Amino acid sequence: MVTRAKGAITNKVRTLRFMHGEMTQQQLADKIGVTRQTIAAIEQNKYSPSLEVAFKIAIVFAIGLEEVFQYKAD
Amino acid sequence: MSYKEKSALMHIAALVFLLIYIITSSSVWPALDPAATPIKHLWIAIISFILIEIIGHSLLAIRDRKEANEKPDERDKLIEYKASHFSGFLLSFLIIGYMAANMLLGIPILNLVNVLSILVIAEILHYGLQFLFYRRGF
Repeated sequence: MVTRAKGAITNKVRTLRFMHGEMTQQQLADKIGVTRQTIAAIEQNKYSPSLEVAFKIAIVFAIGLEEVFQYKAD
Repeated sequence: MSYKEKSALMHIAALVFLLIYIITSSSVWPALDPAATPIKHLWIAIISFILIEIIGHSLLAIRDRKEANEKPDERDKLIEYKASHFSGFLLSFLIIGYMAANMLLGIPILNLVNVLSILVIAEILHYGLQFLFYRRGF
């Protein structure tokens, strides 16, 4: 029987933005091709982005995907 | 509140107006007589609805010009998809249930007021869910 683990995806996008010259949400949004509201939703853990957008965010900050996003299984 | 949340609320306001108008004016609509379709009331309802939508969204777009011109991204598309999924399910359920009830009760034709009301209720759910997903996440 397959059981689906419940968990939450968290991220450090907000921290990383400030560590990269206090980049604004709009600047990050423009770099990865989404709206500013989507960046805000990602930061507040209201939305988990697609793998493509997650990789784009990691590339902007020049770090690995697992350093930006973390998965915590319950 | 973002432009998209305000836009969803504007849709809901216009649809609630339409629903109230349909229900309150339905007393003068001859429900089972297709020859006497209430064209006048339908025109008033539809034109008023379109005017509310145009004026409301124009005002919102003037206030949030940049956001209004943004193309939908993956989150917007996912929210639209999810809201459409649930409202489509409700619409199918209500229409099929209504048709079944009509057949079981032996009524020969569908009541225009009830069918329009079901369509409007499904749309209210659509935009209500959009607002909820934008506001609270999903």
